Parts: sequence; structure tokens; C-alpha cells
Amino acid sequence: MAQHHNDNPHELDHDPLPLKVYVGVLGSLGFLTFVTVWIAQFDFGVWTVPVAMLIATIKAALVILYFMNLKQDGGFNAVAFFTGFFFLVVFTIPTLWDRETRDVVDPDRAVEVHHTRPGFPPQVTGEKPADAPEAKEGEPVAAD
Amino acid sequence: MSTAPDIATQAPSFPKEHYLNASKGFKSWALTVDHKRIGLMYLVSVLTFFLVGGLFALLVRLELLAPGGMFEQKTYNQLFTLHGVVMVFLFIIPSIPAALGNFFLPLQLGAKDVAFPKMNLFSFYIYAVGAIVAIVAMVTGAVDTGWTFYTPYSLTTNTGVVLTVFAAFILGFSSILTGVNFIVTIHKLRPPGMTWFRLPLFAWSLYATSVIQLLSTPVLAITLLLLIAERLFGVGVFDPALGGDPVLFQHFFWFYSHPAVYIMIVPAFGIISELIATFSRREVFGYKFVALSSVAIAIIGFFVWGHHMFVSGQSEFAGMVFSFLTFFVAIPTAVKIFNWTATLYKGDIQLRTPMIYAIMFLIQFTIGGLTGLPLGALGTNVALHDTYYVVAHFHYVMMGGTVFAFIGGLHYWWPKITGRMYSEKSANIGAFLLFIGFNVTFFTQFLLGFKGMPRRYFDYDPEFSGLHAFSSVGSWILGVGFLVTLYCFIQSLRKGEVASSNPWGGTTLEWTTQSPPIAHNFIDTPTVSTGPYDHSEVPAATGRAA
Amino acid sequence: MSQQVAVPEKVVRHKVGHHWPHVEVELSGAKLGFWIFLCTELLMFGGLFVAYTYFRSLYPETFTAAHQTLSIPLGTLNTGVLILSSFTVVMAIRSAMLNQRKAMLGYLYATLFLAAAFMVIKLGFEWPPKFEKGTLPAAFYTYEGLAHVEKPHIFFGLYFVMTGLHGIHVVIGMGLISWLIWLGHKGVLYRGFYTPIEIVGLYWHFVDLIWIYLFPLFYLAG
Repeated sequence: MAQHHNDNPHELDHDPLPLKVYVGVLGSLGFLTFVTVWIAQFDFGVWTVPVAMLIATIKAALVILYFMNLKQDGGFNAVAFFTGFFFLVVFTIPTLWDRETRDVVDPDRAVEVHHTRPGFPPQVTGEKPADAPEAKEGEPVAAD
Repeated sequence: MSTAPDIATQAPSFPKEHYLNASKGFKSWALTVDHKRIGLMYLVSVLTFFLVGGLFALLVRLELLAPGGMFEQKTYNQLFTLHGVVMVFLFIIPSIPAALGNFFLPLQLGAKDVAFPKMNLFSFYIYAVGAIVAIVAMVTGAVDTGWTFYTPYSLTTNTGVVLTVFAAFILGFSSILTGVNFIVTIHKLRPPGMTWFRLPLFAWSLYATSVIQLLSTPVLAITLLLLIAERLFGVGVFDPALGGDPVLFQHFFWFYSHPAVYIMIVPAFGIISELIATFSRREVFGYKFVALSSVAIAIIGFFVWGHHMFVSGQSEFAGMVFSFLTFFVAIPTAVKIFNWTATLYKGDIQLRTPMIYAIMFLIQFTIGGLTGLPLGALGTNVALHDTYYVVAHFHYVMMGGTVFAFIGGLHYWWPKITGRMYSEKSANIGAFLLFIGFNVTFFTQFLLGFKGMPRRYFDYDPEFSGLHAFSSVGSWILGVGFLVTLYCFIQSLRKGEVASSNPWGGTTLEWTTQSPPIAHNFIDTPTVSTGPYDHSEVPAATGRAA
Repeated sequence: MSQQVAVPEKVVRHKVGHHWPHVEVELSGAKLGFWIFLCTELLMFGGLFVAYTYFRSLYPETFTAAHQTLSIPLGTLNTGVLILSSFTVVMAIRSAMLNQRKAMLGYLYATLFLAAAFMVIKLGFEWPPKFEKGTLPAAFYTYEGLAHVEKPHIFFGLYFVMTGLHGIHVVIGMGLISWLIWLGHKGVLYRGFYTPIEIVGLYWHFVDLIWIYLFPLFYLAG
């Protein structure tokens, strides 16, 4: 078990980080928000979203390391959080990649199927197939 | 463990003070923060829902006893859906962790409670609320989509999808909070001397299970929320009519539900380790490998969910990758089976009831695991998907595996929980009936699946009738077996012999305190200086109170 | 210790639960537990981001066109509000550590106020125009201005689900901050014990983090 420098087992005895650290982070976050909005007027084509995400990640890192104190606490808390992030990536990649590769083995799979359930939804523009049956009663989805 | 158990020279008397009589009255249970009382409340709840789910199963098998529909098609769909929903969400996922884990994790760690006792009680109330919502959903329009809620049918069916799915959402929170509690407990509340590799294997399995619960349940939560939003507002993510993708729903759903099956089995593995260690009087062979294999299963289990989706419309390329990865998850599981078998070899085998359950587990789980392989292989899956082969496979691992381990664990820890022994004779009759009933019911279903009988069908061609009838009779033997086991436990409570603190000669810390334990578990925090399965100082137990 | 202030008299001195060996273990245990819980929140919201990415790659022109109906000034304002509220929570912890009870309560009230401002801006100014225009999920979608792209209701469906779930988390956060204010008035929080503020703080920063990603994805990325 860890050695506790504090002799009183019931009360904590910590000092905060210097004030300028917190003010500095706040200022940086404000600045980066400004950058995010400013940079949105430019079109980087395929890089638009990655650039926005990069700036967001820098902001997130500042919040996590200093406001959430992970830089000081470190240890298993960081392992726990980044494990979560790792498994999010594990979920994302095959799911997106599945859609990308649907036509690898069978090219017909990439064809989009136009289909609208007759009578629903009321205002979405979608072609009703010419031979679609009349809407049956008791079938609207928003009936829960 | 270094402390000697109490060896009575005469039958001990029932302890005067223990956790059951430490405080009295409804409020002392409703507002308890004692992990043992919370564990007991969970135990009663999950066993009740096991009964409910079992009744649905009996009705399903009754429908399939002979060709020709006894029930209407929609009613049958509702029956098997409810069987699945109740068994998965209300019984098996909470079962071992919330009932036995809550009770015994702190005891095995020599701790006075879990890390967050109030949150533990809160978890139980979340479970209770989820259960009530589920019951309301069942009686006001039971769902007929199958427990998997596939779109687009779950978007259009005129049954209580929103309420049922919301119940599962609520139950997920209970699962998550229990997982948080266990992980912090194991990190922070181990006693002096108990390093990670001196943890009992049941604790290791609860740790791995908690990791899986924490990483997978939130994805189920968002899947269910999106399903509700889609039904109520028409978001457009899962409904092809709105531009959505039903296969996306399956990705979301199975990312949780495949790791979920490891939530179901890994705690059972932990129990089996305990049973085999105690009743062969040996340390589990390759302790470190068994411990780390739980973690390996937890991790690898997240990479394989697409093997439920081979014929769904998923890209064949993704299917190939998922199939390849699926074979890897068998490896750490096999490590466990081999190591347990090696433990038994030249062990000092005590063939008590818990050990009988452990051996039944080894046989049944191995069959279940091996039959997963043709399902994991892409080519053979195409023929077997959605047939009774799948039904048989998962019942062999979940029921022949988890449920049998759960009951075995219940027999093992019964003296500690209640302070009483049960009649070995009734217990063994129950075990025997369960074994016969289970295998008659479900082995038959492998054959049915092979012959091409599809699952979730309320009727069938006459060529399947012999096997179906045989399977249904098996379900009745199972029912009798459960009743006999229940009777055995009830008789134990009424007039069972008083148990000593260590009737089996176990070596983990829970056996060093009285049966039933005092409210604070231990008078002083124990110190540990050996591994958890050091049998050198523990004398041979008789299984009796003396 | 140059910032040290003596323990005020009205403070309720803290005693750890009987199962904790030391208050440091109680604090680190609570933090560990909450970081683990944040994993679950990350995965829950992460699933929504996966859905967003999936449909953005399927209908890129729709997302480009539809996001222009959102108000960048209001979104930016809300981003600033949340970032500032993260700062005030951190300052509340700092004040507790320094036994500055009035400042601690002040910062907690400020956080609560900023959280409320976020919800007012969202529900009072951002959402009503959408209800009027009809830029809503499919069951209620009536907007004609995006007829030139396909399936615009998917963008708005995702917008409402994601910002709606985030908004629910903000409201829950307001409840938690109110609880802290109540504890503060009871005199339970001081240099010797401020674990609840740390934990609620972690939750609140996470709410801020999600918005840091939601903002560019919905309001800006075109």
C-alpha cells in the first residue's frame, strides 16, 4: 500500500497549482476557440475536418492535463481513460471500414437502394415506388 | 493463506452475532450499505428472474413439442423475445458479479466493504427500477423482435420496444456502477501482502469482467437511445427508409453484445478456479496464466463482434477479418481448460457437490466452446447461422457453463452465506437431474440445427418432430432438477446442520472468518504472506460442521 | 504554504469511511473510480461520433449545406461559457484547498450560473428558430430550404440527439453543482476534504470536452 505523507488519516493536506497555470490554460482555450472559428472560413478540402479536430484535441489536452489534473495525478487514471479511447477506436475503424468495403467482393453491393415505406415519413422527400401498397393502418412509427 | 481455520472438536453452534441479525427491520435492509446484504438482495432478485425466464423457456419448448401451432405466431415471437430479454439483462449479466461477487470480493480481499458502499446500494436500486420498467413493458405490449431488437422491424413493430429498450438502458447503468466499484476495490482495498499475483482467481475474473462491462455497456446504452430516438423522432441512422443503415445498428449492438457474453462467462471461470483449487487441494496449475487469460479474453473479445453479422449484409472483407480474429479468442479460454485439467491430475479430489458442478462445467463448456468454431468460420457459418445449432451453442456456454458454475458456486459458498450446510444427497440428485435434463434438451438442438431447423420459428416440418419432442422432454427434466435444487436449499435454511467457518478446507480469506460473517467481515484486517491456494496448513475438511 | 489560511471554526471535520485505511486512499480511489466512469461516458458519446462520421461520409454535401443553418455566434458564445465554467470549477477546488470558503461558494455559484446560461442560450435562442423553420428530425421535418441535398433530416436528427444528450448532461451537472453548494453551506468542504468538488469537477470538465468536439463538427466544419 502507498506510503501516506499525511499523518492525519482523515483530512487532506494538499496545495493547489499556481494560479497562473489555471489562468494561462483559460487564456489558451479562449485563444484556440477564436482560432477554431477564424479558421472555419477557409476551405481545406479533405483536410477541413482533421484540422478542426486537431485544434479541438489541443484544447481537450489542456483541459485534461491541467483542469482535470491528469498531469499531476497520472498513473492508472491516465491508463483507464486512454484505454477507453483505444476501444473507441477499435469500434470505429471496422464499422466505418465495413461500409467502405461493401463492394470489394461484389460490386453490386455499392448500389444505393431507393425505398420509402409508404406513407411515412410525412414530409421527407423520397420516391414512393410505383407499385407500393397503400399505407396500412396502425403502422406509423411515432406511435409509441 | 497463513491463518489456520477453526477446527472444532465438536459441532459448532450458530454464531450469536452476524450480518443477518446485526440490525433488524425493513429499513435496515432497504438502506443497507453492507455488501453482503446487497449481494443477498441481488441473489434473490436474479434467481426470481431466472424462474420467470425459465417459465418462458418452458412455454417455448411446449410450443415446439409437436408440429402445429399451439400459440399464435406473434405470441410465440413474444415468448422467445421475453425469454431472451429476461435471461440476458435481468438474470445472467448481473448474476455472478452482483450476487456472489458483491458478497465475496471484499471477503476474499480481507476488506470491510467495497470501495463505494453507497454506490453499491444505488446500483441495486437502479437494477430494481430497470426490472420494474421491464415488467411494465412486458405486460403492456411485450416485444416480439427477438432480444437483439434488429432494425427495421424494431422500428415498425407495434409493441413496447421503447419501454423494453429503456429498461435495458437503465439496467446497463447498474452493470457499469458495479464494474466501477469492483475495479477500485481491487486496486485500493487489498490487504497488506496481497500483491496482484496473490489475488484469488475469482477476484481476477471479477476485475476482467468489470473492465468488459465498463467498455462495452455504454455502446449498448447509446444504441438503445438511438433506437428510441429513431422510433419517436425518426433520426434516420438505422432506418433504410430514411437513409439509414440497419447493418449499422448491428455493428452498434454487437460491439456490446459480444463482449457481453464474456461478461457472462468470465466470472463463471473465476468460480470454477476456486472450486477446482479447493476440491483438488492444490494450487491451480499455471495460476499466472489463468489470471492473465481472463484479461486477455476481455481484450480480444472486443475485436470479434462481426462474427454475428457474417450474413447480415456486412462487407465480406470485414467478415473475413472478423472470422480470422475470432479464432484468437479461443486461445486464452483453452489455456484455462488445460490448466484446470492439469490441476485435477494427481490432485486430492474431493467429489463434493461443488466439484461435481465444476466437472459438469468442464464437459459442457468444452462442448459449447468447440461448437463455436464452426460458427466462427465464415464458410460454415453461412449454413449454420440462425439455425438451432447456434441456439445449442450458446446454451451450452451460457447455461451449461455460466449457470452450472453459478449453482456450483452457490453450493460452495452456501455455508458461508447462511451458516448452514445442505443435504449432499438432495444436492447431488438435483445436479444429476440438471445434467441429464440440460444435455437432453440442448445436445439434441445441435442435431436439429445441422438438419437445418431454423431458430425463432413457431412451427416446423414433420421431419424435425422427433428431435423437438426429445428436446422438450429434456426441458421438463431440467425444470424438475431446478425444483429439487431449490428444495435442497430451502431445507438447508430450515434444518441444515450448522456450518463451521471452513467446512471445505478452502484457503482463500473468506474461509477465515465465521459463517455467516459479522457485519464488518473481519475483526482485524488480515495480513497475507502466501499465494491464495496454499494448502500446506489447511487440514482436510470433512464437509461437516465438526 | 504561503497561501495557507487557518481552518475556519464552522467546518465539519472529515472522517473517512470505515473501510478506507486513509483519506488519501479515499481521494485517489474516488478519482480512479470517476476516471473509469468517464471511460464509459467517452464510449457512449463516442458511439454518437461514429454515427456522425458514418453519415457524414455517406452524405457529405448534406452536412456542408445543413450546418449553415446553425448560428456560429451562439455556438461560439456557448463554447466560451463552458470553458469559463470549467475554470470556475477549478477555482472552487483551489479555494477549498486554501480554506477560502466564501470564494469557494462564489465560484460554485458562478459555475451554476454559467451552466444555466448555456441551457438558456441553447433552449431559448438556438432551438426555437429550428422548431419554427422545421429543421428537425425526420418525423417533424418541414424545411424546404435544403431540398437540393439528400436526407437533410439525418443531419438534424444527429444534431438534436447529440446536443440534446449533451444538454441532459449539463442539466445533471447543474444538479451536482447544486449539491456541492449545499455541502458547502453545511460546512463539509474545506482544505481537509474537497473530494466531492474534485469528482463533480471531473464530470463537468468532461461535459466541456464533449462540447469542444461537438462545436466544430456541427457548427463549423463545412
